[in-house]
Amino acid sequence: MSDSVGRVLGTEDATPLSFWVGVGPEAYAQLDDVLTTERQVPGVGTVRISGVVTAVRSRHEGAQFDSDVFDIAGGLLPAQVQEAAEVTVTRVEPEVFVPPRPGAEVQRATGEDRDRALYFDGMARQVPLGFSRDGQPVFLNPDFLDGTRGAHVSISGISGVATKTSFATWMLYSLLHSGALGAEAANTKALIFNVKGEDLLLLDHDNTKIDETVRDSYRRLGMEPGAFKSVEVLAPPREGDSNGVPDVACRSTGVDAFYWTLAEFCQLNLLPFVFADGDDDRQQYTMVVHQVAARLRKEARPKDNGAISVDGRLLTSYRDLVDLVCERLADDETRTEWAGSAIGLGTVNAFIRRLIASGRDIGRLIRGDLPPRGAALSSDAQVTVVDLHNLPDRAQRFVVGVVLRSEFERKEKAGTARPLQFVVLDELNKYAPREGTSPIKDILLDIAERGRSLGVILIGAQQTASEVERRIASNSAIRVVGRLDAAEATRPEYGFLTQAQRMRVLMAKPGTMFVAQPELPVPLVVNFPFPAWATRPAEAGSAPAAASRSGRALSATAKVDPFDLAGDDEDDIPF
Amino acid sequence: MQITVDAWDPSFADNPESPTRSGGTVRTEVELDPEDWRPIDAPAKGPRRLVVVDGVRRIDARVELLDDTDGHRGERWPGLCVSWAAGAVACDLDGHVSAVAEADVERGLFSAVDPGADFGRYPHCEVESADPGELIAAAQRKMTELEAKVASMVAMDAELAVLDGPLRGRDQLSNSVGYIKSHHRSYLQGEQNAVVERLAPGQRTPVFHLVSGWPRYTWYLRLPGTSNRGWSGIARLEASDDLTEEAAIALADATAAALPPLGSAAHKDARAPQNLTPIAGLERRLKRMLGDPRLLLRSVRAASMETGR
Repeated sequence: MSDSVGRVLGTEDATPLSFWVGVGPEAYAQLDDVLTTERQVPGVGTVRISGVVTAVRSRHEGAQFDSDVFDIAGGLLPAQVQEAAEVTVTRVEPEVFVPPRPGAEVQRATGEDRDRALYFDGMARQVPLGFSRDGQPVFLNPDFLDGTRGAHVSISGISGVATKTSFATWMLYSLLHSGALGAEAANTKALIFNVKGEDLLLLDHDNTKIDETVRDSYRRLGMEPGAFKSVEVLAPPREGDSNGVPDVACRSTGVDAFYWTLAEFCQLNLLPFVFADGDDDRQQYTMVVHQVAARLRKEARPKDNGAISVDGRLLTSYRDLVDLVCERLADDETRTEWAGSAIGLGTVNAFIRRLIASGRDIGRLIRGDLPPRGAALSSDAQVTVVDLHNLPDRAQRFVVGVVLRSEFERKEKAGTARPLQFVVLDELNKYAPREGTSPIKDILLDIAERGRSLGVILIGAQQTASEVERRIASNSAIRVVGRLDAAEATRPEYGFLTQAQRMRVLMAKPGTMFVAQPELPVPLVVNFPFPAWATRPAEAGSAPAAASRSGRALSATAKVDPFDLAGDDEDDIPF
Repeated sequence: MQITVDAWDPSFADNPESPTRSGGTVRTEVELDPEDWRPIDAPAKGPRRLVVVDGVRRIDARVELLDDTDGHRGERWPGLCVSWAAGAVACDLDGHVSAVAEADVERGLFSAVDPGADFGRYPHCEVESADPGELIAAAQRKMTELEAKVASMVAMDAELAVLDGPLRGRDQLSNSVGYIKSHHRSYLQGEQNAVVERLAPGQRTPVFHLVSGWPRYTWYLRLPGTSNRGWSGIARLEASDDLTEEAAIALADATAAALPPLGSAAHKDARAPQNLTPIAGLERRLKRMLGDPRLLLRSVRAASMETGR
């Protein structure tokens, strides 16, 4: 069941928290291997000490000088190559913290021993995370994900090679399809913000580029490879398009446009989210923002197609609204009503400048010419992808802020944590920076601190955890690190990594993540399988029937031929 | 005036580099006629599989035995607790591997009287005389025996076996040579002795036959690494008298080809270049095998308390 790796070294201190193992001549130990040893303690019995290999080294014994290596390699000087491995203890059973005895035999832990060493035995439910170096599955305790004992995930890593978003979606897939949530999985919802590229817009399409090995790794983790079953994609309307056609290139079906009507904008008090930049908060005009928002809510009368009338004037676009507000603020008679008293003219003008500038960014999202969509998110799809990648920064902040607030308020009103709502948000350092405040940061903080009891679970990703609000990072039960930049890896935010792991994250390959969970004192290194869903149009296979609005199981990426009359047998070409 | 500096560390004071006295019966015409004596170059190709055998010894404790048997009551005898080890390194120059092939540790209590009790890890070794010098010589003999035992186990696996020290008592192996690092005596005279000083690194003298206590073939070889003048870097090698002259000359050629690359570097070894690199490595290993001297001394003290009770 277990095979011997070597013996506990006596030339290095062995402690209950870490010890060194001399690796036997016929054996090997690699990083992340799980090793175990035993000792007898009088009055207690056998104490089993298990841990994870966090460092390995080999050296020439008998060599005194650096140049001896040439004599040794040339066959002149006898020397012994000795390998040693550092084991960081994960579990001592029973909890008698005694060091292992030098000379004690150390074995590779397999099967139940490995599960015990990594606390998998105590997990009533298991979410597969992937495989460790030795090809064995690694699990996550969902108790720390669904709010039972903890919630929220923080994923850090540099852009491009850290595969943060892939890991976040993989974790969602695993959570929803591994059976760890039981019957609850069907009702669990996820909201994903797609911030760059169209990577996440094809979640419901099978990946045609994966081979049998990848499929097999999904099966070994106890789930069927495939795409997300129920996905709704929301994209902003095309710029300048009066019909609100979603601005998406890679798929033509299963996409809805998202926008807010002017009536909603005024009633739901969305104006502050137009000024959600960290910079905005330091300015005096926040006062004006709230005053104008309050005024709009009071004055606006809803009309058809989301339009509003203010003081009898019909407004059908965001630009109309901006014009009206600017007029009111410019007019000496109405300025006090709209901007509030004792506001300097400079402050008002600063607000006007920014409001006019926002017209270009936000204009296509606030409509007075389209029917109201109702709730921002439809409630029937399991995964909702909100596409932001075509939007300028100010508009991205507006959408994230408004969507998060409406979701949070919905859950708050529901008053029950179940079903769970997951929120995947990349670039958390932009939305919740360590310095300054903004309306979005307030909501994210709310989610981080109260979301656990409300059933809103944040899966946040960022390039640099050191630049994210501390309270958000510290509320995350699960911390994940992909490849990091060298300067970033030395920051205290990554103190949970071992010394060797801090160096390893500098060269972590795509698909390799360091996952720290509260039960385990050492982060585990995980290789997660390649996505079984398409991440770009070239990989996309067929989509599930649900994604196609017409009910045909057509790939949403298939080019639609406007002259194709297939399926329309009745009407002939009229000439 | 020409001054040469001794290459060895000055603490090895009893190893004068240049021999002073002379002695023994020498027959110089084994390989070349005495008039033709000249330095001989090494052959291009030498043995590729070597075995180097060496031993170390250490005095762990000096003891005094107080006789309490009838008739000898009150007599005091000196004794030595000695540990010695011998080992062999097999160097495969083609395979680029050298490994300790065989190593063994023994211990003993050397004294003229038997303590009559089990003395820790040290079994009694009978010595005729109570003279301290004789006790050390007895320990040295035991070590030589162990070396011979180790050599006999591994020597025939190799093309050439180099045994540290004189070959005396270990001359049964046809491919073995004794390797002498320091020179107390000069055996050659006049012109022939001058040939030794003229050797370039890697060259050897012709083989000559020497009877000094016991018969053997012998020759000098200069190892590279230090100055090429005088007697620095000169080693003497011995081969068994049982060999034919041709076999002895073949062995001399083999050593001239094989040993110069094994010479140690001056900054790594106090006895460079004569203390060969594999021997230095082996000695370090053997000294470690002798065990911790403080622990052994403690065990001797504990055993003496035990027997004195």
